[in-house]
Amino acid sequence: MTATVRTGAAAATSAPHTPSVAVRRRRFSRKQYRTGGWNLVAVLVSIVMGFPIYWMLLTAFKTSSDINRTTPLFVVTHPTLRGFREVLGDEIFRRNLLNTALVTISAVLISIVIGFFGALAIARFRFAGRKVFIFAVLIVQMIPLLALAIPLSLLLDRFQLKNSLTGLVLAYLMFTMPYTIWTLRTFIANIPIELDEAALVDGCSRWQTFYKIILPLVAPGLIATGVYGWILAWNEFVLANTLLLDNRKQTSMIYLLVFQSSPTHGADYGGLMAAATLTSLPVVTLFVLFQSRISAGLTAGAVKG
Amino acid sequence: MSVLPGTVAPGPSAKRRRPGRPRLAYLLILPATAVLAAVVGWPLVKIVQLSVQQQLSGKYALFHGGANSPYVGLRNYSRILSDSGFWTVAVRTAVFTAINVGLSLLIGMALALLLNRVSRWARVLLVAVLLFAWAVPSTVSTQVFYWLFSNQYGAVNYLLDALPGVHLAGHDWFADPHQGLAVITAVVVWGAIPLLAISLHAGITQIPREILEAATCDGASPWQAFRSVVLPYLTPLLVILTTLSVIWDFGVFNQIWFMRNGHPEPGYQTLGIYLYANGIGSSHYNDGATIAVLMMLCLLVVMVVYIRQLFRIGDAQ
Repeated sequence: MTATVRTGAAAATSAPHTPSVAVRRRRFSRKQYRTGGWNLVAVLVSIVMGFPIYWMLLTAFKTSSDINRTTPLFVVTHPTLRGFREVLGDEIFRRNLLNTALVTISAVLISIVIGFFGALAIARFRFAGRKVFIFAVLIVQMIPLLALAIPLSLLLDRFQLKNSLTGLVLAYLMFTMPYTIWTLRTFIANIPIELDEAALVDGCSRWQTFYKIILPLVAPGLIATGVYGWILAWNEFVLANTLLLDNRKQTSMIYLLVFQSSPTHGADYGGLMAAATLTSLPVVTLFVLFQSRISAGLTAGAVKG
Repeated sequence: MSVLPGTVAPGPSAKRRRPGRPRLAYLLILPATAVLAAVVGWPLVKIVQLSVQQQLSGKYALFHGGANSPYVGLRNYSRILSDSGFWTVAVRTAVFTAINVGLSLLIGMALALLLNRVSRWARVLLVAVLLFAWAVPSTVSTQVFYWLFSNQYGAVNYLLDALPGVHLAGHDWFADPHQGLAVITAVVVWGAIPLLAISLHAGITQIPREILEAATCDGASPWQAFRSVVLPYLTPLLVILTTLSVIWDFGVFNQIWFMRNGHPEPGYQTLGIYLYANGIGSSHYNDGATIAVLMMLCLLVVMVVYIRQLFRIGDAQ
């Protein structure tokens, strides 16, 4: 709709003489025709892009006889909750889901509190070593987690934190913290410094300025970084797989892999897709709820998981 | 707030950062510095140290006093660099990265342009699908693709087989690592497209409309308008997105690991998998450390471009 109006206006200004009504109408319809074509392409792309998610949900609700048919069924005829009941009935799965939540929440909270201070420092102060600090924060984001898995496991072992969720939280700080600092820095930098100055002139202490001015204004940024940090930590697999050995201590990502490759569950796609759905549900929900905030925060920090 | 890092306008107060009170600033960065030094700094030093120490086998040796094993200089490096297996893996990683980055960027750009042309309802639909695809963890999407491409009851074989002249019933995509890696490319690209398409679309919408219209008035074809107006505008954003894509695709691990049920065959090994299999899986920690250092050195080349771009933005604010 807007496209048609826009090009109509463009056509009107572009033509040296005002086009006749007949010509304009023909241009409109050609344009609409073209937009219709692109709409069709968009629908086809959406179907292709969305198909894997559709297939996951579909399989999760299918009966096993419907799953193992030589002719795949593209709709669900006898919806069943068997897959969900199976994995939710598995004590290990519930335990692993809880572990994932605990580790994620702890890593995000610690990163936000500590990262906020760091972000405040680089956004509001000039000090010797500021560039070095920024450089360190940026470079850390580029290090492959896998590369540090060996020394991290040595370090955690030394403090008897290997195979413990506390150890995993510490390891996760390695990627949640730099992202948090860098993104919050952008959000704080966007708050006019005049607001701080006005507050200071009006007799606020530094602490009050922070508490009454910066904190409320940066709240949306805190949500964006928190949600994105949540996504990063929730989806992490490599470190959890390297650092956690006991299956009751593992996270849901590892559960998925073990489920898929265990002989008893081998081809149980219903259960696997139910577990996959349940595992991605918290992330998808948060993502969809806060998507505009996340996009802003993401591009502010220019990082993806 | 501005959506695009490349186009963030410096605020009026940008250059007037409060001077003085550095002690407070140091106090503020202290906790972050301590944490980063512990979880990144120390491991980085350790990994370099391990890479120049004598190879020890077994976890026990390493965890119990093995850390004091004798230094052997660059012997680990020369052993790994003279191993043809390493070079096969390195070349495979480079090709895999190039294909994945190229495909993701091409499709991402095509979808960004498409988003710019469709009606509102179609845009909402496509963006919604992209967001869902974006949010699904890579481990989960890999499981789903594995099931889609499974040889017996997989939907992809069935759909492709229905095409005239295609016979794929019962075809095993993972018997040949090249085909298997093609399936993995599909997962990686599928997961990468949303971020690229949505940020590039946001970039396109920030191009002043008058400029595009002027180009069209002057008789530029859509392709010419894209090349001489859209692309130059998007260059800063494209630099960041390309570097990030290279970094992610170079280090792809989850997709390959899950697609092969945690046991990737040699034909599926990229550097990340190679590092895990030869370093962690077989407890050859010194080899693993050496490969890790080599991997980081490769990435450093890409990072230089990225960091420079980020610094330019950081300075602007």
